[in-house]
Amino acid sequence: MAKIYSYIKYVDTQITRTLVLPYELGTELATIGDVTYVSLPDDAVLPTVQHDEIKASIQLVTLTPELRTAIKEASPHAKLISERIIEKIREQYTVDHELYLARIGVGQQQGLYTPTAAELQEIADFGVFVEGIRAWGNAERAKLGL
Amino acid sequence: MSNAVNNLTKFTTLNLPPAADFGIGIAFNESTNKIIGCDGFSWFDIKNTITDNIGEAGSFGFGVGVPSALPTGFSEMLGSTDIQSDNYGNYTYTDGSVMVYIPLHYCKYGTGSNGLAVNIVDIKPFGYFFDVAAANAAGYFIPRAFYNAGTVRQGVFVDKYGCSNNGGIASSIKLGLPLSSAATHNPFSVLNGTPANFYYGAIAAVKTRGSEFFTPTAFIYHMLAMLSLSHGQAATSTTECAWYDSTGVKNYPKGNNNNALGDTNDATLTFVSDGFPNCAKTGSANNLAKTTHNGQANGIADLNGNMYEISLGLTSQVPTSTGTLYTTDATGYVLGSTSIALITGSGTVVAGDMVTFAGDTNQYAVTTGIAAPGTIVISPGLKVAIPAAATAVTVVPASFYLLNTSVDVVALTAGATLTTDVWGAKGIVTNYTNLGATYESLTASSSAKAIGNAGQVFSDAVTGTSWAATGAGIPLVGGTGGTNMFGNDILYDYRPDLMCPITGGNWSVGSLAGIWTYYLNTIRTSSTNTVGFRAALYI
Repeated sequence: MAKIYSYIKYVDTQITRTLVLPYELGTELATIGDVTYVSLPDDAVLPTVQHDEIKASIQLVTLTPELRTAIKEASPHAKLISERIIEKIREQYTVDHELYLARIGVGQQQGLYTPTAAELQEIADFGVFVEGIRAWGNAERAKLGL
Repeated sequence: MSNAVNNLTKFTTLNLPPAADFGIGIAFNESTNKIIGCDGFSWFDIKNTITDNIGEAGSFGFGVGVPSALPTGFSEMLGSTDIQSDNYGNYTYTDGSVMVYIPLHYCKYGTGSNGLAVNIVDIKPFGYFFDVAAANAAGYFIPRAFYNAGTVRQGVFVDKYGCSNNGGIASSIKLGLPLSSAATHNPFSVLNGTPANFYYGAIAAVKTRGSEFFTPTAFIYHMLAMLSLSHGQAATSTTECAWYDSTGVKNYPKGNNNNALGDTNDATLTFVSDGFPNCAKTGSANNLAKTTHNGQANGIADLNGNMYEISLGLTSQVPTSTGTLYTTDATGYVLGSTSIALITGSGTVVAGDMVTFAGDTNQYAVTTGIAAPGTIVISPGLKVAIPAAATAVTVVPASFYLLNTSVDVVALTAGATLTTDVWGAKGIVTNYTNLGATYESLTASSSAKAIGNAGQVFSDAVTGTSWAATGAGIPLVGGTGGTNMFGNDILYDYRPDLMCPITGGNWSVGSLAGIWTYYLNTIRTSSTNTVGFRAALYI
C-alpha cells in the first residue's frame, strides 16, 4: 500500500513550487480545494529537501473513508483505473451479453425464471472473470494508496 | 494587414509583373503570409506565399514555414502553404511521415539591457537583416540548430510526431505506437535492420527512413523550445496559441505527463493509450494544438511528456586512467606523430581516454595505453609538434563536450570507437569542443535543477561557446531555481561516461516534464521503455 502526502502548492506569477519527489516516483493524485494529494510507493522516501514555500504544509495523510472517496472522485488516475476495469470486461463481454446474464440472474432471484445448468455456469464464469478484473483494479488503486 | 514592408531583400526575387505599377501599393499581409499589391482600387495577391518565413511570434503560422523548394521525396499536404491551415508548413515523406518545416531565422535573448526585457525572446525572419553581421550587431543570432557540416542551413524538417514502426520504417505518423529503446515496449529492434534496443540504436533507426535523416540534436530541441517561449510571450489569446495562459503561470506546451493519459497542468487534455501503461499514441491529444511547440495544430507535437526523446550534440566522458606526472621523453615529436614515449610518472593511461600535451590545446585519443612508463599511441597524429624536451602529459579529466558546427550530424555513427562516432575518445577529439569539467549550470552535481530564474537564464551571446551552449539548452550558472516561464522544467545535472541526453520527460513525471526538460544521467547503452526518438532532415 502506497502512502499519501498532502501539501499546498505555492503558485505566483513567477514561480510554482511543487512537492519534490524521488525521480520517476510519486503520482500527483488530485487537488481538492487548496490541498494537493501525492501518492508515493511505500518503499520510497520523500526527500527531506523541499521548497521553503511549501515545507510547512507537507503532511503524511491518514485516509478516512470520506477522503478516500473524495480523492478517487477527483483523481484522473482513479478514473482511468475504473475505465480500464470496464474496458477489460468489454474485451470479453459486450454490454448486451452482460445484460443477458443479469436478466437471467434477476429472473432467478425473483423466482420468475429457472436458469439452465449451462446458464448458471456462464453466470458463474462471468462472476469469476469480473471479480478477477475488480481485484486487478483494487490492486492498482492500492498502488496509489487508495 | 500591416503597412510594414520589413523584408525588402525578399522583394528583389519576386519577379513582379513588369506592366504593373505598384508604386506605394505593395505590402506584406502578415495574417496570410502573402505579398499583396494595390492598383489604386483594391488589394490583390502578388505572391501567394512567402517562403522561409518563420512568421511573427504570437500570430498564426509562427514557428513553422514553407520551404522555397521541397527535397526529393517530400509532398505538400492539403493546406501546406495556407497559413490558416492545420497543415501549414507540414509535409509528407514517401513513407507517410509528417514533418514540419522550420525555416532559418534569427533569435535575440533579452538581458534587460539590450533592448529586450530579461528572458524575453525575439524572433526575426532570416531576411529581416541584410546579413548575419548586421544581425549580430543588433544582438540577434542564428540558432545553433541551423549549423551543420560547417554551413548555415536553409531550414530543417522535424518529425511532427514521435517515431513509430511503419512496416519496418521509423515513421512520424499520427496515432502511431511510439517506439522505445526497450524490448518491452514497441522496441527499436522491430525496424528494418534490427536496430539495437539501446539509445544508440536511434541513430540506425532513423536511417530506416533514408540516409539523409538524422537523430535530432539538442540544438534542434532547444531551438523549438525557444520558438515556443517567444510565441507564448507574444501571444494574446488561445486562438493563435492554444496553450496560452494570460496569467503566465502555465504558458507553455502541454503533454501526456500525469501518468493517467492527461496533463498535470491542464485537466481538459486527454490522450489515447498505446496499450502500454499510460503511454499515449503519437499525436493523440484531444486538442492537438495544446501539445505543439507553437500552440497551433500545424506545430510539432508531444514535446512535453509521453516519451523522452534521444538527442545528440552534448555528451560527457569520464576517464579511467590513473596516470599522473607523466612527461614525454626528450626526443621531440614532429607533426603527425602517433607513438609517444612517456618516461616518468606512474599509473595507467588507458586506451579510450584522452590526453593533452603541454603547449598544445588539442586533445588526443589514446588508442594504445600503458600501465607504467612506456609508449602510448594516440589519434589523431600530433597537431602541434612536441619539442625535444620533457613535456608534461595530462589525462583529460571528466568533461562535458559540445558538438562542433563543422560536424555533419547526418554522417555521425552510433559506436564509441571511430572518428565518426558520437561517443568515445576518437569521436570526441574529432567532433566536439571540451566545455570543461563544469560549464555554467552544468556542474555534475547529480541533482535536478529547475530551469528558470528571475535573472538571465540563457546567454545572449551571438557567437562562440556561450552561444552554442544556449543552443544546446544549457542555462547560465544563475539560470536555475525554476520559474513558470520555463515551465519549471528540469535540468538533470549529471556527467556520466558516454552520456546520451534525453529531452522532454515522459508520461509519468508530471510537472517535471516539459519542452525544456533535459536529462543528462543516461548513456549510450541505456535502454528504457519511456525513451524513444523522432527524426530530422536539413535542407
